[in-house]
Amino acid sequence: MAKGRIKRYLIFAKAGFQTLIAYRGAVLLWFVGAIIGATLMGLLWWAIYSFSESGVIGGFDYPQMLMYVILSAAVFEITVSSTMGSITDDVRDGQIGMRLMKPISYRAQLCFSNIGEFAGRMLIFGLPVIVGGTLTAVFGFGLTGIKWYNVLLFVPACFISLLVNEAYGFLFGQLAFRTQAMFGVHSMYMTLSGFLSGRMIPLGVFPAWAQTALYCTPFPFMASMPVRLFLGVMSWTEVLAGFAIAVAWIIVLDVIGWLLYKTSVRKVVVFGG
Amino acid sequence: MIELINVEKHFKKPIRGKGVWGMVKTLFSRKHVVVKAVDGVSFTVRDGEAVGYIGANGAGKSTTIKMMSGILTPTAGEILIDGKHPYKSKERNAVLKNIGVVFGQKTQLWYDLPLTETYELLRYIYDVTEADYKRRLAELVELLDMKPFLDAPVRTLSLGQRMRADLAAAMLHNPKTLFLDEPTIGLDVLVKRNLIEAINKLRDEYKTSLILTTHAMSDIELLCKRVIILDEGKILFDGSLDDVKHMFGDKRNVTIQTAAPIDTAAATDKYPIDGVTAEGDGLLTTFTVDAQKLKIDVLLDFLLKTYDVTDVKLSETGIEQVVEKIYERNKAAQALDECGDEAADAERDDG
Amino acid sequence: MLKELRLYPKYVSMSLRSALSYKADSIIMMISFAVSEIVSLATIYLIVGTVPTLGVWTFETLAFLFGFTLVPKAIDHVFTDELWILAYRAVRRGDLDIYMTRPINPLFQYIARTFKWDGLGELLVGIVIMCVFAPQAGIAWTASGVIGLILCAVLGVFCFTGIKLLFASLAFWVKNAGIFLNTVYDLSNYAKYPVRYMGKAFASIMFFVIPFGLFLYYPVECLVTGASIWWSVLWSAVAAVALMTLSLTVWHIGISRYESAGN
Repeated sequence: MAKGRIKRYLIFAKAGFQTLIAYRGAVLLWFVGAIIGATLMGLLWWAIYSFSESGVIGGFDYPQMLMYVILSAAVFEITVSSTMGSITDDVRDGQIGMRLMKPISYRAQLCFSNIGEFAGRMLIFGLPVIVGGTLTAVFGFGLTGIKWYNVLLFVPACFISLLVNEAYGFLFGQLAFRTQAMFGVHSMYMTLSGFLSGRMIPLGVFPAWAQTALYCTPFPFMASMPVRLFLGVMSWTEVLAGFAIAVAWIIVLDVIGWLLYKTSVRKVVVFGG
Repeated sequence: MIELINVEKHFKKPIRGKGVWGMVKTLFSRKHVVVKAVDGVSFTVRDGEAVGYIGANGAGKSTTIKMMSGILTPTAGEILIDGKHPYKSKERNAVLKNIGVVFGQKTQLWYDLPLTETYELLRYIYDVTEADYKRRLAELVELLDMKPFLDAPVRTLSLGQRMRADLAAAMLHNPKTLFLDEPTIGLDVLVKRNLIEAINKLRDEYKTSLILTTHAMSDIELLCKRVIILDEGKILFDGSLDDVKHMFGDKRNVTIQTAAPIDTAAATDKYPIDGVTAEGDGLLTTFTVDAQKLKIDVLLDFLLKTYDVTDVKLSETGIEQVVEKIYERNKAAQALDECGDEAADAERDDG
Repeated sequence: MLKELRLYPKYVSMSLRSALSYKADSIIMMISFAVSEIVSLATIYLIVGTVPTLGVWTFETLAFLFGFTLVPKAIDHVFTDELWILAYRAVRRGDLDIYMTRPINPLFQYIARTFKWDGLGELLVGIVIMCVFAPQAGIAWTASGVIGLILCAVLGVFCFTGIKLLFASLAFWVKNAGIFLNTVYDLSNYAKYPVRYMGKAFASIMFFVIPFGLFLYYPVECLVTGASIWWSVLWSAVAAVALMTLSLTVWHIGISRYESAGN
């Protein structure tokens, strides 16, 4: 019985993977956009570093900062979640009723198709960009301190990042049952999560009080943590504690999302889907 | 007057490569296949005439209407509407002022506003004077029975109401010619009937020329005397609807459902029936008859009395069947010609 | 042209009344813009804080530059937002059909139908930021400087619209024009940084290829360094004329090969 259930989950993961591969043309173009964005941030930091006396900003020298910029763009592209968009579409097109009748919970359907997409993104974007980016930073700019075990741990860290992203997507996706203005909600979420997670600029340049406050939220696990792990600037205790806290946050976010979802489903029943 | 002279429209479809690399190559490659959506079409429509332009999906009828209404530019040939080309930028506006267009699948009405708002805008676009606009709108509202929903936002209208509203929008500036592209698509029978009646009323009132595309033969019957049948971009038939019926018969299908398979001989012996097919383990039987030779009600009456009928369905022959028949006829004619040639050859040999 | 001008107010009023049905959406969009602008300002603040000096630029100067970049962007946004839909799906869906059967310019009809009033919030934020930081931006204010800057903002609107129309018109040739437009549009976000220090290659692109740097960054740089802003007005005018000519040409070529949908 458990076996059958796992099989059903995997079907959704596979569908997500295949969808991503089917739209790889558009996906690749998005990736090119992301690479351009990372290049521009790299140039901006290059300009800033040229005015720096110590050559260290937010705890990073320039090669590390460059790697940070490349990796945070990569992490974003790999771990972006389609959950909020899917809920929005399902509610708007009235598909939600159908989705609720499937033998797997709506939550699991969304989550597993994201996992499938994650695998696809890791493969067609993550791998080449991480390899290319690392080679550029190491041989072009003299980046040091990259350890093979950190590179390996980067993959599960990205997976954690996806789950946080996805949990947020499900949580805010519940707004789709209550407002039509999801475009605004989505772009607001993107802006805020981008800023608070350290994707736009490393959390190291934030004031100390802000850093303390942000490390008490789930946001750093969406960009800052996997990238710093890769760069090898975290101690083992930090890494272990990071993973543990991230998992705890995922559970908390999922519980809140689930509670909200209960009230959303009641709305669907009332309106008849 | 509308003239089409050897009009062609080709679409280039890029040949898509497989895989990621194939996609990248597609972006830069010049390779493509040319699809001839319209392939050498010529015809003339006189002022005030009504023409039904029919064909299966993908036959090229929408493409033709889009070329006549200024949306697409022909690849070759010429289209003249009262002597002007709708697709040339200098002559465009002169043509467009005198035509009205309705697409069954698209609306030109503002989605969130009452109808009158769009009409008011169209009045400015087409430079209709206020007095003309008021008089004409009143007439159209009356003719198309639009009073009940004149002030409701368009998004709340039913499809049938929206089609009538779109018709009025296309008629506000008193166009000489009205183009209707699949106006009955998605409408149920009764609504369709009302719409067709409304179009007829408009034509009686304003003497507008009408060009209508559809894939349903029955739409045309009540609207147009002349039919142009299109297939794969070429004209298969251009003539009166009566001729079509005369040539191919006014064929109807009567399908009955029975509790048990039936012996159809009782019917075929008694009446001139063109064909019988049985489906669903012999429980669904279809009789094809020529409505000119045998009245449907007579047959139906007989069937109901003779067999244990649980359900009845009447249908007309579709455009696909007519097109198929035209091809068959052409092939037969060709075969006959070849036969004749062979016979002539044989005679010569003998001689 | 005269007819179009007469019709425009009619379109604006219809668009505004349509938008009344979606008031909540517009308000959420405005809040979202405000959040994104606050985040941008905070980003500038944090970045500038990492170094003792940044040439002629201080946080206040860069904040003023940021405020200025918002003005042409917001005005363009209010008037031509529909171009995004042109880029993403209007061509493929055949949405242009109905505009092409009417005897006025299809591009005018297409753009005029959306007046995006929530962009006015962005404009307001831009002007407020400029006013707040103008006294501290280290600029010696003169009447000529103010007039020049206003002219640059107006010309900047045409530059923005030109770039948007140019890349949106690619939709007549390629399937993913929206993504191209999006990528190019994102470049405008970098005009709020000291473009000149970001490497020769990038600065050249931002000045001469996709000239966001020329019409957004350069006017403020002129004011900050004390150079004459009228050079910047001249360059913005050249860019505006060139971009509008180019984009209208590409639009015209594109629309003549428009294929509608479903064939």
